Amino acid sequence: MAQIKIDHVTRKFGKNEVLKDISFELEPNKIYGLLGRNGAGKSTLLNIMTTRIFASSGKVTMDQQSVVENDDILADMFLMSEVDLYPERMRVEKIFKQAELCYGSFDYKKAYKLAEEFGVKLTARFGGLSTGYHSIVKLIVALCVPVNFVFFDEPVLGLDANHRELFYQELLQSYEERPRTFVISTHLIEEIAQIVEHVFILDQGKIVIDDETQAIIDRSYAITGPKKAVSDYSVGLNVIGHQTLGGLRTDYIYGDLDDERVIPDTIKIEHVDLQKLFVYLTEGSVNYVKE
Amino acid sequence: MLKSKSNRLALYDFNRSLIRLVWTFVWFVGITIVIPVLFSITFNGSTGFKLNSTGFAFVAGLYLFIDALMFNYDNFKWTIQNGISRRTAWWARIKGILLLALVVLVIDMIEMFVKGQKITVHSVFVGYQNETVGTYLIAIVQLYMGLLMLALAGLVVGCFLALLNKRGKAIVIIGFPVVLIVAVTNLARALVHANIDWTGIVNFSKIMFGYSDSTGNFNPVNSSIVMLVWILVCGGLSYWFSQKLRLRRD
Repeated sequence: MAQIKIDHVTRKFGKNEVLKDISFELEPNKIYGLLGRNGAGKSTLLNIMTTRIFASSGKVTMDQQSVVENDDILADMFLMSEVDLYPERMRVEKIFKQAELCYGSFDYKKAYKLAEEFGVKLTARFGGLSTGYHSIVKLIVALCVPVNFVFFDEPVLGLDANHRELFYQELLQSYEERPRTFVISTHLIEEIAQIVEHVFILDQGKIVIDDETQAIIDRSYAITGPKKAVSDYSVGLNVIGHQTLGGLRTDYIYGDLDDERVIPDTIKIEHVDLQKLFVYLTEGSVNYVKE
Repeated sequence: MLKSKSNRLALYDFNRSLIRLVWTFVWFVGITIVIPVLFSITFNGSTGFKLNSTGFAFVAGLYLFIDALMFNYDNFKWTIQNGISRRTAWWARIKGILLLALVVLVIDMIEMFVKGQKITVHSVFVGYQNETVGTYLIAIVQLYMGLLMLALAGLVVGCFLALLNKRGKAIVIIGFPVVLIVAVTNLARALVHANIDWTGIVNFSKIMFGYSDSTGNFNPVNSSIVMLVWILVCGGLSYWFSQKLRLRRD
């Protein structure tokens, strides 16, 4: 099965280095989360992967073949991005036909079903739709094109809670019906935490986390207790952030705990959810060691 | 072959161009025929319409240039969204232009036929005024090549402009004509005052157009080669520019 490899990709805009020597791989039939703060380089990375823009150095390959100017590879990918690339005057139904023309086939049955569920008028012009409906049209196309790699860049932009819920349901159903690789780049981490199997966290142009979701959570801890007890226990561990409330302190740790170390009765250790981990890992003010 | 991606795209591109051409004609007919006829009927009582005064071929030629000039970035946007490489999109565009130029050629010939004009009148390069099949064929081929020259010139400019952001485009669109006018004015002034021997330039032009001093005829092969070189250079430049296209945030 096809695999995408991002190999030492760097991207500069003028003097600003947005992506710094990024390397990772995307395996077939897996759901990935690509997380990062605003300006971390998520969209730039996805744009490079789909050759909308070019890398300053490094390469993106699928089965050892460069994606650049490779129709076979490009026809196996779809990037649903926040930018609208469809002609404003084009009707929704025509957008489906355009996708069929380019990708060779299109799941009209599913597209019509999704359009009905989301309440999209097929005869509406794309430019006349709201931001939310722009996202919905693009999501429908993304779920109905015959590709093995679907990238979502802010897929739920402008969507209300009901539509967001519906999208996640449809995404999982679509994955169940035809497993393929999805990469979801979003700020709404809590909403995708239960969906993604593997997480990439991008911070200041670098991948700081590249691991299975469960493994990340298993290695994230919140140590809570009296200030001194917590501080003593955390010495030498990879503390990525902390909170204090009165006499209580919570240290957030990413990495293995010291099994030899005795855990005092006064402190409590629990796992941290993905969102909290993300916040502390990407918070510039906190000094931490990224593993 | 016809099922290949670039062919499918070329036909799609061609259909869209054709629809726009029809709309151009609708507007052209409305502005240059319907409205004047209505005025004539209202004020003079007669239509005042003369077939010879129509200029469909000119409009179609102009449209060919503009169609190739415009829509390049828009085309890039939707093709890259749908997993089409720049090369395939460019190749499809070229095929679409070849088809559209053929349509414009047919319009041109129909108009000439309706107006009772001879095609050789339009083909200034063809010096053989005897009306043989070969002469007509050369004239038609050269007319087609002339249309392609026009379209590909538009494509080069369009692909170049597609690389620029709004600010860059504004600078080029406003700045280029100004620079051109200043340059041409200065060049004209310099030429007026300079004592230039034009013989070399005239001889070179004669070679380019295949003019024979002894017979007074033009050899169409020479001019065809010049046209072909223009087409290939413009095609190559447009390909080079199209390979550099990237998504802009403007």
